[in-house]
Amino acid sequence: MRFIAQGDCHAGFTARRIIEAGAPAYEITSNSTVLGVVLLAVCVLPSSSFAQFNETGNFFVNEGLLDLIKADIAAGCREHRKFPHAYYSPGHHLVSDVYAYYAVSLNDYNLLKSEWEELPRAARGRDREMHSTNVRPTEPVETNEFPLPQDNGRTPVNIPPGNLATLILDVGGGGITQRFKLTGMQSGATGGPLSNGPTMSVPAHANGTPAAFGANTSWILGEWPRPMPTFSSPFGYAPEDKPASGFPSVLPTKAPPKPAAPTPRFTFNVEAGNYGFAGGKSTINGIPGGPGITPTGDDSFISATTSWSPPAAPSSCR
Amino acid sequence: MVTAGGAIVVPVTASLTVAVTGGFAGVDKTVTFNCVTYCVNCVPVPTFSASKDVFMPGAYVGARAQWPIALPGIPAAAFVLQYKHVFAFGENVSLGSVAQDRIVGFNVAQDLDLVTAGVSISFH
Repeated sequence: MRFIAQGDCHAGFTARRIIEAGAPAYEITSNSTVLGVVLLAVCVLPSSSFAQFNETGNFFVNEGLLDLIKADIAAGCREHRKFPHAYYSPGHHLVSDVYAYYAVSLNDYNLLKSEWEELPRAARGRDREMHSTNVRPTEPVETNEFPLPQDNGRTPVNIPPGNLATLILDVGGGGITQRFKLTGMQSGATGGPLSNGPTMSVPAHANGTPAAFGANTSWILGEWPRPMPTFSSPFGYAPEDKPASGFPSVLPTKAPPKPAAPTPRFTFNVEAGNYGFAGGKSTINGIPGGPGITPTGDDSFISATTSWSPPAAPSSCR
Repeated sequence: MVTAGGAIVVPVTASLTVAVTGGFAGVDKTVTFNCVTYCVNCVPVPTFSASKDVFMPGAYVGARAQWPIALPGIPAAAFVLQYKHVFAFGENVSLGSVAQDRIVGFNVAQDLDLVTAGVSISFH
């Protein structure tokens, strides 16, 4: 694999000069091989790690990025990567808009180089002098384009949220059907023993329409089918319909294929709720199945659905 | 009424999801017996009214649909339409007492159809 890094650097070294300075391509032989070599000593420093400008402006080879490039090469991809720009170097030099190109073969690389060198100067875009000595950015420019070394350059996304809880506040209404069935009746004279009266098991029911209010909580337990983690692109792909600004159109700038729409997934939840009710009492008149005239009498059973509350703690009074 | 159960949530469109729910339900009721005719029939005794709180265990099945709505200051809010059918199994209850000279025993059960609309708020 051939690798070329080019970009703007302070002190009169432009991208073209960088190339002409004899550091355009480097063989990747192992993770520990120095690839960046020296674009400019003040701008890009050799390192045992690869390809990242840190906040101090040093150009590092990050093994995570190296792995990514190797994976791309193995997949037959040839892409370019725009590094984070506008980092401040310890030598008071502003490093900006550095691109790295790599190719799967020397021929590819030579083609890149020749195309680059044949471009009019203005068309290169990045080939410009910078005079930013001692101009220190107030903050390093944050970018999402470059993979962070701590996550090995691959930031998983679309990971299902763990323990996602949902609180649902509800109001509404209901229809209650109250069922009643007599099981026994006892009666007696004042102060006397009670005796069982003749009863029949006669089902009866009454309706009510209470108002309801409550809260329901839900927690996600899992999903099916299980989601496949996807990863953010390790490279800064150019827009699909045009090449990267300032670089030859021969460069492979086509955007990666758009991901397919996510597969609908079932979500398994556990939930709990607590509801209260107002109104909607159901009344059964008479005692269905009772003795004598009680089935059509003025007795009544009234049933009201109430909100649940924890049992009262036993009294500690003695 | 307290419920505890599970739900299977299925996305229908990019924004609309429906869920099938089910599980345990417990219904609290207050049952009251007003003794009138029974108290004056045969050997008359004073009329009375007796009440008792009853907890009836049961089960529920239902469904839920929800889709996102924009509420200021509440990200990931959604409108939720829920239906629950609750079966409260029967409980035996007796009201009255020896002192009141009348005791009525009965079995009480309940079905409940509940339709609610609400707002859901998600938390990570």
